[in-house]
Amino acid sequence: MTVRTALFLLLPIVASIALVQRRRVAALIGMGLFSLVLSAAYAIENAPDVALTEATIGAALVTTVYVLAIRRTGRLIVVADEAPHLLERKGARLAGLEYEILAGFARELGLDLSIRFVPRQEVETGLLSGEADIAAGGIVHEADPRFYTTRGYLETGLVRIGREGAPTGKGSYEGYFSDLIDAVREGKDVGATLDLARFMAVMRGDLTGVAVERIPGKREYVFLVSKRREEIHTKLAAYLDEIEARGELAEIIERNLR
Amino acid sequence: MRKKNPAFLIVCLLLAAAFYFLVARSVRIPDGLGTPEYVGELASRSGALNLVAGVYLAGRLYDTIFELIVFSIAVLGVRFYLSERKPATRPAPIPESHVLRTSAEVLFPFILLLGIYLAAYGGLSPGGGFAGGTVAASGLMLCTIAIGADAVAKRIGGASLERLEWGLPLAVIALAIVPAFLGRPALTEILPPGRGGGIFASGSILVYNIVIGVKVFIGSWIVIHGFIEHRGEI
Repeated sequence: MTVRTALFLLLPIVASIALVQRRRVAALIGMGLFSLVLSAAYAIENAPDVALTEATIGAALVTTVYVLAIRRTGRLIVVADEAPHLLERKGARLAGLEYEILAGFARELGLDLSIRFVPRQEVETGLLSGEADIAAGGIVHEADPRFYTTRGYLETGLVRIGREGAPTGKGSYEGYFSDLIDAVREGKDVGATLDLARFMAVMRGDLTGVAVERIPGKREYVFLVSKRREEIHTKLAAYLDEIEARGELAEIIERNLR
Repeated sequence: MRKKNPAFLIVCLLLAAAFYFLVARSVRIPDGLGTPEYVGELASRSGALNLVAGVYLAGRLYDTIFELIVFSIAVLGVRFYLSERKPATRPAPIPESHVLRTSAEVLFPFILLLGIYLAAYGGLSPGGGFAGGTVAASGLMLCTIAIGADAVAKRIGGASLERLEWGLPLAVIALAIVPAFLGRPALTEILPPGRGGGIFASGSILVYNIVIGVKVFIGSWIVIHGFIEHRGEI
């Protein structure tokens, strides 16, 4: 088989590989590769001028411009405050119940999941400014007209903690969750309303001198979706229903909260 | 929208009229197009050893001019639509990589040299202004990934380059009109072909290739810089 035949056979193969990619970045790399093979084919067909232009424009410049253009659209951007067992860092990787749900959802949409950990008070601002598509990290939320709220995927409760003998402090902590854990460990004056996952993590510290009060009522963990991303909200709701029907949701909960 | 200056509009109309009467009307499709005689005549007239360059910079210069205009409009479109989409916050830059930075510093001069070579020798060997300009711009892109768009823009004087961008296609059009003032048809050679197969043997093709190379280099930089500025680092 001559090089010429091999190159011409390679062209439809590389094109098909680029076409069937679900991830956009992978499809772009396939497209760049196609341009390279095409430029080799031009060179072998005695068209070195076209080959040079195809290699520089098709493989280098166009690929870069596309990568830049899809930088936002190719990603599912999630803002979150770290929540133990739900969405947390374990060494260099991410883990948790919500992480598994979001990773599966992003895979289904063919998007790259990008999770940004921010202080708790910035979770809502991130969503409102349009910087993020979804807010996660143990959110227990009543319906809020500023966001789309998904159905609850797991029951939880709320607990208020504060210094004993004094009225509980602020309604909620506003920084990073890790800062709250440090404050409890150092015996500082803390005041916060916590969901059960966070409360269990706090309980591992020294709780002497800290009053704990359970807020009555049933609550559920939800995801918040930006009002600008209606289609993400619809798809996420459908995805949650789907994994529940398949029994996957129960498996994920079992795996992470056992 | 800002009110347009009427003088600007008149100058544009006059330029368009001049282009029509001096250039567009003088386009003649020669008889025997594609025959060996036509190709031989083109080669001796233009002095191009690379016949492809002879065709698109001597025989079909008007095609190339319109191609340049299309490219300029594409760049203008990118600038226009991206300027409307100002991001609320600037995305975080990529973390600096020592390996990337060092390789960019080592490779950039060579890539730039290759780009200049391709543009300058386009009349003699494969290449030309379009290929040379994009090669040089891809070198700049490598630097952008390595040290960031702002640093690169500062080093190469990005703002003044952007002002030059539309001047260069006008320069190509002006060069194409020059022969009309010398008593020859427009869109023909400005410089006579040289001898001996050296870089100057390709006569006016060398001039066109260099101007087009610079234009494509600046245009590609504007597109890359625009996307990085509005979409964040790569």
